[in-house]
Amino acid sequence: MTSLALRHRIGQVPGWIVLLAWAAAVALPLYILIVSCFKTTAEIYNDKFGLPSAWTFQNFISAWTHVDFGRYLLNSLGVTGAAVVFTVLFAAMAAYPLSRYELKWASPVLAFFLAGIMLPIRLASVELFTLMKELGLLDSRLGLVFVYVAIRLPFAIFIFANFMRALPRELEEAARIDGAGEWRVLFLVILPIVRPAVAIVAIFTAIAVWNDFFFPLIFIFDQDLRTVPFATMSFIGQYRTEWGEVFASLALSMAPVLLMYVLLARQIREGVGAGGGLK
Amino acid sequence: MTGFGLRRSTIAMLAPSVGPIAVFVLLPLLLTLWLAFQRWSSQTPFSTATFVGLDNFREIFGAGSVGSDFKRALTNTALYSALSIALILPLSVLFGMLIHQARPRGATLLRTILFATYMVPMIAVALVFSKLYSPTEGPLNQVLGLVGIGRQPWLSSPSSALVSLVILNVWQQVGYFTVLAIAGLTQIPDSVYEAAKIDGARGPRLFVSITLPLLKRTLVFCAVIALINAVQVFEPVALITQGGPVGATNVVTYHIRRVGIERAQGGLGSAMAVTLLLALVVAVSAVFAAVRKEKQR
Repeated sequence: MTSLALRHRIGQVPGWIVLLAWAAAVALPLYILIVSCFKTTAEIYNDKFGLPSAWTFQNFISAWTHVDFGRYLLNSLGVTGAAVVFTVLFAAMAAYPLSRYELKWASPVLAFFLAGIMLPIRLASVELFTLMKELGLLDSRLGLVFVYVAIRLPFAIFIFANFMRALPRELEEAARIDGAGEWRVLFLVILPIVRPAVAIVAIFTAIAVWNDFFFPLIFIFDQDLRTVPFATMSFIGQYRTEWGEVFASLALSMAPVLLMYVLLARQIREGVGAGGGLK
Repeated sequence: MTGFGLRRSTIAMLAPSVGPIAVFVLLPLLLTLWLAFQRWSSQTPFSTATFVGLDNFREIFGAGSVGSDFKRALTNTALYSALSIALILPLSVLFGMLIHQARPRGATLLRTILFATYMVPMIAVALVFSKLYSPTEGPLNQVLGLVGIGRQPWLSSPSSALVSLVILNVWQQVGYFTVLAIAGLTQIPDSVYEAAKIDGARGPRLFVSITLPLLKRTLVFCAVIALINAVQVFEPVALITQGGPVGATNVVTYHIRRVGIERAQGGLGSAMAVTLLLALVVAVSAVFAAVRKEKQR
């Protein structure tokens, strides 16, 4: 190794120390979350750092049987699945005319969608609650889906529009000459080409909806309709909490997202660059 | 190109997006604007609201307990947002530059670890941090003890509770903004740096005169998004502190729910929301105006 390369390596050492320190700071809470799943509540209180004295799945079993966890999982799957499908479908439909036609009124429509991104909807939670009550959408999984789709759509539209704008004009013109209508052009010509955008929108919508705690807290009162993050709250008792079960249920609820992350980490990070990960 | 058939399909394509956003995002916010000037109990339909002019605003800024509680909440939200941005932006630029320069060996793994926090649901973050922060036997105080720093009260003291929530927020969000910073850094061509180096620029000078100006668009975007996220903070307060101790972490979104739902004073809650909304609009416009002014120079 030449002395110059060596000096370059040494110059990078402080940077690596900073990054490793942050990686440790990220890992510590995650480590505690994982080991706590296997500990008894007494162990969690007495020894937060150490490994569990015995690796048992007792917490997972009791978390699963104590409450109707399978039912909450199905609720979450249903709500998340529906929100993802409708967000992808509607966003692709809206992005197509906005990005491929020369519309005179495109900019007010884009401004409307931009407002959908910038407006902090949580500030209007009381009004949204009353509105849902008057629409008969409280205690309804469908009501949750509507709200999630409305909140996720604006970003999804911008992502689709960014991808669609980059495509050459000849694509749909050739299809139109062959007699294809606009719907056929969108679904059979354009959408298959912007598959990366479909993946980004689907992944980020799924993560946001799956993890959300805020809207079920406002809209869902019926135990049977709870989604997974909200259901975790039912483990936290007023007087006594089985923390082992709490952490086990958190781990169960995080498993699908983390699995997806490990498999798709690169696409997810690229999605952030495309603006996909915003709340 | 703008035949009738085409136009009809355009409307059919836009309607499924415009409709839900109008009903579930825009309408609630417009109702908030309207209700801020009404007396309205949130246990009754909207039709029961009666116009009271600026009474709600007079009350939330008044000298009474409603006023002092709200002003405290507004200060808390402002502090939380300002501290969050002041920590998240520099840290994400620092980590972004370090990872960007360390490419490629180990960089992918590091990015994967740093970004992982974004995947963890807020409820898990909140519950784990409530254990980490435990003042007597909490892991965080154990770690600090190893490097010779005494026990911190964290969430149990009014003076440190809000900062503890900021740290939790920074922990969760830095990875996300680091990825955004890296995306901005990769767009700066290497040739710009090389030209500056030929002119004799080194180290900090390169950072100040090349990196920062060319990263400005990314930074402004990050600041605005971090701000919009921060003013809406709710989960850690609802899950860990319930606004305490003695109102130290009572932020506006949490306070609005207390006033608007539990006390059913929908008009007052709406006036609070409108106040924060106005403050947000002013802050975001100020950021954009500052950037534009800089450009003109």
